[in-house]
Amino acid sequence: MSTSPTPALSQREQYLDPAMLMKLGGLLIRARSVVEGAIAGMHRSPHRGSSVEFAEYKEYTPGDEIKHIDWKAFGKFDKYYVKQFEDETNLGCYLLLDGSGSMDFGSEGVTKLEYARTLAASFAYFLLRQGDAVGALVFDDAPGVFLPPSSKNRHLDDVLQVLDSIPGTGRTDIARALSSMAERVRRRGIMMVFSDMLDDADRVMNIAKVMRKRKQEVVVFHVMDPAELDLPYEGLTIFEGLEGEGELLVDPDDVRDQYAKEMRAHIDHIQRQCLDGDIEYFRTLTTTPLEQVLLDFISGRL
Amino acid sequence: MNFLNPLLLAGLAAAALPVIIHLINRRRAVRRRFPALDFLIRSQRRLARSLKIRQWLLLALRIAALVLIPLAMARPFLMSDAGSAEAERLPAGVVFVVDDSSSMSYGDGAVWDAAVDEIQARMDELRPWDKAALVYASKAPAQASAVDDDSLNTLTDDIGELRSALDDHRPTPRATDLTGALRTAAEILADADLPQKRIILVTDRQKSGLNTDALPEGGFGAAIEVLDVRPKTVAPNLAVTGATYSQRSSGKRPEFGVVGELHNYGDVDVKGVQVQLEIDGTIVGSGLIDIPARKTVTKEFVHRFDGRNGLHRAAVRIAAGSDEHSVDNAYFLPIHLQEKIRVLLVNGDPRSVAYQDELYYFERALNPSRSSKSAILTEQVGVDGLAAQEKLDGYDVIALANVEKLPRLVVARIQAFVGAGGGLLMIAGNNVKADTWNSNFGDLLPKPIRSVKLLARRDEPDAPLRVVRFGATDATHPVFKVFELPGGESLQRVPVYSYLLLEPSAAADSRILASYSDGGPALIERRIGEGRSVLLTTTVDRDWTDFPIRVPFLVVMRRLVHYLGRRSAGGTQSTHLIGQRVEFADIDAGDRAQLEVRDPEGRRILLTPTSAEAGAPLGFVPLEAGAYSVVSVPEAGGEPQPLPSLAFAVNPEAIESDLTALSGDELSVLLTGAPAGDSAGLAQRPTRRVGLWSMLLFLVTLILLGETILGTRRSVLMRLGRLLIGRSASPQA
Repeated sequence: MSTSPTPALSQREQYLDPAMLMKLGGLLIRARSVVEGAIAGMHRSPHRGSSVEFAEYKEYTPGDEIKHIDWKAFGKFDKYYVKQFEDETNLGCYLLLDGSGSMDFGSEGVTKLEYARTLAASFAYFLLRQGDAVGALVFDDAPGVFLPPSSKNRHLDDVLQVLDSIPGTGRTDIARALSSMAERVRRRGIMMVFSDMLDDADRVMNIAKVMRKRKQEVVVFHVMDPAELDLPYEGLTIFEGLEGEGELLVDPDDVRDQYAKEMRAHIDHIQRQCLDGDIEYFRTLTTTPLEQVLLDFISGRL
Repeated sequence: MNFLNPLLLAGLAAAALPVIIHLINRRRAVRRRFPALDFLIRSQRRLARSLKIRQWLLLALRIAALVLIPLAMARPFLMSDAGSAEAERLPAGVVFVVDDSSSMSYGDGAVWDAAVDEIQARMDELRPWDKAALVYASKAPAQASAVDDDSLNTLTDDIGELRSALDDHRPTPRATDLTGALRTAAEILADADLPQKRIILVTDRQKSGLNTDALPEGGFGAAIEVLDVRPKTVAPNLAVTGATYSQRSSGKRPEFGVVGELHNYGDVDVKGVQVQLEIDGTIVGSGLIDIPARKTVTKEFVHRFDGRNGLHRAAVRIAAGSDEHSVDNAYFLPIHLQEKIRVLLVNGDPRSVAYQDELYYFERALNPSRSSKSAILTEQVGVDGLAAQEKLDGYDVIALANVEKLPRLVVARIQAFVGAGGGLLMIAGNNVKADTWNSNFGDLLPKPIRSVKLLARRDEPDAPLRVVRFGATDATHPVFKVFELPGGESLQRVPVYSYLLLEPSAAADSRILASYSDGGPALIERRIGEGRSVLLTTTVDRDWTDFPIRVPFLVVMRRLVHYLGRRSAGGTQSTHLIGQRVEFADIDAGDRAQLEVRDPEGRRILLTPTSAEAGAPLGFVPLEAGAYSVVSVPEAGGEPQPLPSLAFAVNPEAIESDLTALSGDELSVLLTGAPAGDSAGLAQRPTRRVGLWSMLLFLVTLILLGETILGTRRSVLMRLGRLLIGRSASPQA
């Protein structure tokens, strides 16, 4: 998976900078901006067609909607065929937002939590517009508010309210949140996890793989701050953990290389585990335009 | 180390700056919130060791720089005697006066090795245009060349030759003569036409080595530098300084007493020194003694020989390991076991009736069977017969019995006989007149004679009451030692009717061996040269005493003759000193041409006359301590004939054993008349000031460079590295 923009989009560079985006009103406006921008970038009108996808034909049986009869097929084969759409599989999407203390960090004007929250909201908006059911769960070291999925238009407000309800404190326990979801969700669905993945990766991936085997799709949006990658600080610094890990006095210059190595190994490990477990993985920096992330996801599913 | 600006050393306080700055920086550290702290902690832990080393190294470099800067500014310097100052010298003549005496072998040769190293180092400093000579300072052997190799006594620019000569040389067992060696050095330099003249005296500062009386008043005409090689601590030196022997008894297994003299030259008492008696290479006796500081003690050994007559090589030794200077730990002496003692009896009152003869009882006591098998061979002559004897060397003891007077020539001959180790027994009698004997035998008498004391006549009825008897005897003396045994009191029952009264003013070297019951001396001994004379103040016939017919007579007379026997005691006449010429004056003409000496190592030395004159005595100069033997090699060839009577031993000079040292100042004053620190005193090596600040500043530069590299941020270094790699790679691209 890649976070790099598609060539067509990169030429346009019409996306909003995430930092700028965060300055826009509420979560709904931001989500709408993202989705509208992304759809516009695809040169398609979001108001045409259906969000549900054509799947197959089936012979008409009494009780089927007459409007779904394909008259062209009738002309060809002299039989009534009815179009079947994926919509009819009735997918539920669950947005799992990490609201732990480590998410409350941003070196580029936007915290990982704000970024992830807006991204999740954008997906909610997008999916609801397509008619998909969307549920939500916020968590830190324990599962927080859970919103069951619904495809109603006014459900968006509830989703956004849930996403906005987590303050960004406490420790992280992604595995526990996934376990909670596994207990709650029996039907097929898509679990979209928005987190910085600063947790025990093996434990998280084990649960994710179990869910995958239960026909649940799991998509991981690994949100990172650029400072987490290259530790750009200078001078003697006392680093203070965001989840109560304590303090460390160190000259960043001394440990930068080793830190980058450790972080790279961590990312690679998560990526490999996702690949092995057939889990979609998107790594994104808080400087990456949200539209781009949205499009990457969509384009991967076309 | 000294400083030109010591006040600037106050700047050393700046060494605390890095620590202070570190503490301040720690307080000013920026506080940041960071989500991936676990990764940071893990990274820091992995790098902790290298980070710590780097930080400590940085701290050390910074402190070192801050210490060295004020140190360099204080301008430190050292005084050095090496370097350019020497190169500025003019051509020099250098004479190395090297003490190679016995004392330089102290510490099993360690002192000598140190001395050689010092000299070699000095030789290394000589430049191609300098000349040098080597003069050894052990006492020159009598009538021998001054040193083993005369070529060393000349200034030469072939330093390699001197060096190899020095390498081959070892300390001699001879004493030290620094004065003579310095004179030789001065003579060598006096002849040299060189602008710089210098004597380098290599010595252990032994006090006895400098003959202060022979030092020239005007000095030696050259600067003298002393290379002191004396060890820092010198253990008390023990030495065997002498040994003598005496025969205690005769017979098949004659008993000898060997007395060794041992001296402690140190200032500390030494206890439990093991002393050994060695006979013919075998240790036959051993004992422990304590030797007080600066004192001489004697150790007596008693040894019975197993009947083999002739020469025996004896040595009194201090056991190995008792001190650090082993050269003087043995004293050698030859012991001659005489098969028979030859006694010349001079009868002063011969009679035709045998038992009335003066020597009737005496001769029978010495040789009861009157046969040649007796251990004592007697030969009787009258006064005229004695006068006719030109040489008395064939006898061991001469007994003058009731001799009235002897010609002066004969007396002189007897004096020479006694002086050379012979024994003289003078026996009283009616012919003895006090005045005559005092004037005629004055130099031989143990004490002058006053008169004859007549106590009683034999036929007088009250004679038993008026006579005296033998009284106290010297129980320690070999003659009377046996009378300490049961039955020995029989001597005290012997009546004496008359005896010679002696003057109370005794010669200092006389010793009363036995007295009468009234206190008058009966037997009195005097050492004369190497020999002894003994006076018996009563007769050996029955004129004045019944002694000849009493049992003790035989014992006393035989033991007395053994005691006086010429070669049954000795120690000095057959021992010589190393380096002193040994001469053999009275050798038969047949032996003269082909006399050979075998030294302790078995080497053969052909004896040479002292001069070209015919009849000049043969001799040679021994250079090693030990037992020497002499053989006669027939001119016509054939087996060499040993001459045991000429065997002798050679010992080191006792003076060399005294390791007492002169102080540096004393030596300087003696050699130059001024103390060591004085400009007129002993020469000091030229020194110059060597500044250390430039070196320190260079060190500071290196440290700062290291600090810069080590202190630069890794990111900067990485960037720099990448930049350099990029540049070097770009041309290839």
